Amino acid sequence: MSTENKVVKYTFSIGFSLTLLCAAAGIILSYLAPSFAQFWITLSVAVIIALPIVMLFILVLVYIKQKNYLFAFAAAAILLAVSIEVITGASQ
Amino acid sequence: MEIIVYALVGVYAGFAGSLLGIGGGVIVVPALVGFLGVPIHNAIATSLVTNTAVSVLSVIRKTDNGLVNIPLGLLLSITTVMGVLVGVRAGRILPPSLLEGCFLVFAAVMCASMIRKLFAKPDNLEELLKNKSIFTQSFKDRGKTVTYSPQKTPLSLFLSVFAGMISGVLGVGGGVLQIPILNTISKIPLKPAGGTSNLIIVFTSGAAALSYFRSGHTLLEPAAHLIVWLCLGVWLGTKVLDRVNDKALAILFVAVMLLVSLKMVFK
Repeated sequence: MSTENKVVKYTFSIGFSLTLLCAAAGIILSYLAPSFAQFWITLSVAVIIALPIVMLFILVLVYIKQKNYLFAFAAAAILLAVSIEVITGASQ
Repeated sequence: MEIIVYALVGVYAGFAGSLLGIGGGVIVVPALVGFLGVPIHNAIATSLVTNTAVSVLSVIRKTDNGLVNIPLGLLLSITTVMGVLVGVRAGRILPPSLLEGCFLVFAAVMCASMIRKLFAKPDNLEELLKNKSIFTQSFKDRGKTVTYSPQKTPLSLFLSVFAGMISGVLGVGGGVLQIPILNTISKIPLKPAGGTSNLIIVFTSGAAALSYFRSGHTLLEPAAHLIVWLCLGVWLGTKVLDRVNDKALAILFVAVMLLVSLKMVFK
């Protein structure tokens, strides 16, 4: 497996495991102690939607380290486009 | 009742998303609106979170077999996300019927080329390998290692802008339009086309999901339930993907594209 494949796989795996743990904890707590559930459920959703941006940051750093400037630029360009979309709320 | 709906929708969306390389919004939005009476805006926001989760999990499972072409996915993501941004602005000016017409024409052309491909001789991957590029990659297909080299990348980039525009305006998943571009124009076999489309959806859906989350439209509890259930669906989908051949996958994909188009016609 190439370096970028490993980076993508492990970053996504850690992020998704965290999401799943928080979601499961939130769902269980919603039956046992509803006042504590909201925090974990919100955290699970926040982690999964922040994951693409974290991934892009890491990919930019990995490509710069490899001196692969074309793809570092590509990842940075997506990061910029994604940021514009989030800030302007364009998709709504 | 709600738990049963979450379980069925989550598993089904995860299964379809990982098998075909689509996000699963085609399934989640109507289910949330139809069965649980969720307002459409909240259903779209929630489905964007599940689309991101399905695609993240699919990418994790598919990178092992080389089914995700990360360099190509990154390059196409730029034009797709920009297409979404342009499309959203165009959607405020152009009449919806014109855009729906554009989608139907685009879907019809792509469906026709995929059906034609079903009956034609399979692409000679060795011949295509003469045009090697930085995007050339290998993947494992039922025990065999297959190497492919994406063709006509500039044209795919241009069409991705168009696919992004349409998905930005109409809210149909990027995957439904992206996979036919990768398969028929770039001549990428359907399995890696699906994996690469999953990577593109991570970025397009993730950005839109974040934007909806900031505005408070996302329904957190249904999203958490769906995230837990879709894991089972993605696991099943990737198991089936290991066994199914490209032709069967193409037939399934054309059927999904026709369903989405019919839904738009009778809306």
